[in-house]
Formats: sequence, C-alpha cells, structure tokens
Amino acid sequence: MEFTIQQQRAKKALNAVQALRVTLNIEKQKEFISYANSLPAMIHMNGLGQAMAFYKMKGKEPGAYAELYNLVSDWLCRTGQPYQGKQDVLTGITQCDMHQYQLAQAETLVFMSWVKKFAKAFLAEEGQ
Amino acid sequence: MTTKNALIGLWAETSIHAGAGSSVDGIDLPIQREGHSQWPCVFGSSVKGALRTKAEDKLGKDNTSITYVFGPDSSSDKASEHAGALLVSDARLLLLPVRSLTSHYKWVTCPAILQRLLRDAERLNISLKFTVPDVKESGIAITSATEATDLFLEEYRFTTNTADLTDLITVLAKITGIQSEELSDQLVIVSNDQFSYLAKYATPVTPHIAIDNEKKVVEKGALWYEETLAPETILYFALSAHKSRGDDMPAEAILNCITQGLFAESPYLQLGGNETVGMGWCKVTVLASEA
Repeated sequence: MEFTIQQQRAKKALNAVQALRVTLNIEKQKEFISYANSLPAMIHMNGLGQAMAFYKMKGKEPGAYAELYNLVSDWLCRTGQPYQGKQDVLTGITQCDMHQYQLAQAETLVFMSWVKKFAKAFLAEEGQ
Repeated sequence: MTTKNALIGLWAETSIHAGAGSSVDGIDLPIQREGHSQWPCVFGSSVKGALRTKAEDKLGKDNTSITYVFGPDSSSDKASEHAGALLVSDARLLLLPVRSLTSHYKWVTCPAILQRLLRDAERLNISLKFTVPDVKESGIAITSATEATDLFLEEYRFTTNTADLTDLITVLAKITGIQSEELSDQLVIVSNDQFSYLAKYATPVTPHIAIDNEKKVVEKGALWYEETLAPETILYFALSAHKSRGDDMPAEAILNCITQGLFAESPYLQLGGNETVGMGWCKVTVLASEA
C-alpha cells in the first residue's frame, strides 16, 4: 500500500497525540495544546534552530515541552526526512547544510499543523 | 474595443494584512498567497474593493460614475444590469523587505518576479526596458554595491556578486517612486528557489491576545498568531479600462477617474484588513500606457 506524505505525517501525529492521553496528566495535556499552538509561530519568527533549542531547554523535565521536542525530532530524523540518520534535530541542524535546514523547517511546519489540530481534538482542554 | 491601461505601484507604509481566512502550517491568520508559487499577493477583489471604498468616500455611495466604473452595488437590485468598466488585477509582489544583519533591511526579488513584471507590462502596452539578472545558485545574491561583502538575509548567509543594475533600478524607481540611490543600496536579487523560501518564511507573524477587561487576564482561547506583509513591501497591480456600458464614457475617462480623480490629490490606498489599527496604507505611483 502506498501512502502520501501527508498521510504519513497525519499517522505519526495521530499516534503520538493519542499516546499522550495516557502518559500525560490533564494539566500537562493542556500545556501540550498550548505549546503545540505556539511552536509553528515561534519557528516562523525565529527559525527552526532557535525554536528547537528553546524547546530543548524548557524540556529538561519530562512534560509537554519534552514531548514536542522529541516528536519533531523523531519525525525529522526518520527515513526519507531531511535529518535521516541523525541522532536528533539539533544534531541535524548543526551538521547539515542550509538547504537541508530550510527543508527541515518547512517540513516541521506542515507536520506541526497536524499535531496542533490533533492535540486540540483529542487532549483535555481548558474548562473540561 | 479600445482599452486604456495603467500599472499601479504600491509602496506599503504600514503592515498589510490581506487575510486568507483559513489556517495553514500552524499560523492562525495567514495572508493571501498565489496558489502555485505561494508568493504573497492581494487578490484583485480586495484591491477593487479598496479602490471602490476610496471612491465612495470621496464622491458618495450613490454617485453614478462609481456605478459605471465599478459596476452597480452588489446589494442593490441593479447588480445584474451591467459590469463595471474597470478591470483590476491582483496586486503582485515585486520587492520583499527582508531583515538583514548587515543593514537595516534589504529589498529582495528574483528573476521569475522580474520576468513576470516584463510580461505584465507588455500586456498593458507599457514599455519597460531592463535585463533580468541571472542567478541560479542558492547561496548567491546579486547587488549593485561596489564592494562585495557577505550578506545576511534572515539567518542565512549569501555570497554577493556585483552587477550593473542601472536599467533595472531606473525602472523600479519609476514604478515605485523609491529613490534610485535607495534602491541601489538595498536591492538584492536571489535565485527563484531562495526567494520562494523567503517569501514564505520571512513575513512577520505576531501574537495577539484579547484581555477580559473585568479581570485583566487573557480571555479563554484568545491567543492567535497573525501573519502580515511588512511595511516597505512593494506590490503592483494592473488597471485596464473599457468604455462604460451605460453612458458611453470612453476608456480613457474611466481610467482617469482613478488615476487622476482618486490619486492626484492623495496618492494613497488602504488595502486589506485591520484598518482601524493602522494597517494597509500604501503609497501609490501611477504608470500609464503611452498609447
């Protein structure tokens, strides 16, 4: 069976978000929605490198920031993606060229639009 | 049918938010873009609306020449009687202001944009003469600066190649009203691929919130991210005039209603949304066809 790249992004995002319903408590699920919401804008404003470094810094403790960092990192380092074979996204950013970096940034933004929507659809929101 | 044409240059003096409405790539309120290239633009319907608003503000809503130029008001029962005599194109991107570590900002464009400008001008019977610089490599930026130094656009480093851009700068100055010296300092031409990337990601995105005035806290769910075109963005659009359907106003008179009647005393146009917070103000330059 063949899947389009959008289907693959959707599948990864859906699986990841549904797993968080079990692993994150209600408070952290709310945080995940909020941080997933602000990540694309942060990438647009500051670039992928700065945004991922910020999420890495905030994600020292397990929680929403760490989950988002790992999710983007896993996606960009998997087969067929710009940082294929690299240990994580920050390694990819620092070792690959400008062209790969621009591809990775564009890819992250389309991938995040799925994550953002699924997070709102499946995780616990404010007032619930 | 004789048509009269003009090319209208727009120099954004404030941010422009001509919204596309729906969310893509995680930005809540993105700007309008062309479907195939993803270059920012302002749709012809928005431009025509802005022109009509300016005309109605000046002459009053029920003025008959407004009906001939723009067509009957869509909310009136005469909407199906005849079309307007004025054709308004999308406002197309010409120069994109991009932040640069090495100066205050650069006006960036690419070969594909400049070729399209030449084609548009030809269609409008306006003669523009310049050679489109050739740049294919992604790390190269063409400037007219005398000394070549590396150039930073956003967070990317470009190696500069110097070229004689005099003809191009003369044309751009004529379309936009920008001084040649300023263009000479700030104009940068990058490859089509690099331009596409900058046009997509070098636009400002700003967070907005609404405050609950009683409690002075953010209202629930009221945080959104809004994309705009930065001030100093340069766009242009085409105006073509036919003779009017109603009272045989000649094409030239129809075009003059806009180029003379609207812009002679106040060469400004307000485009897109967020008018009440100062957005969308463009300085207008008119370049009419000779024949």
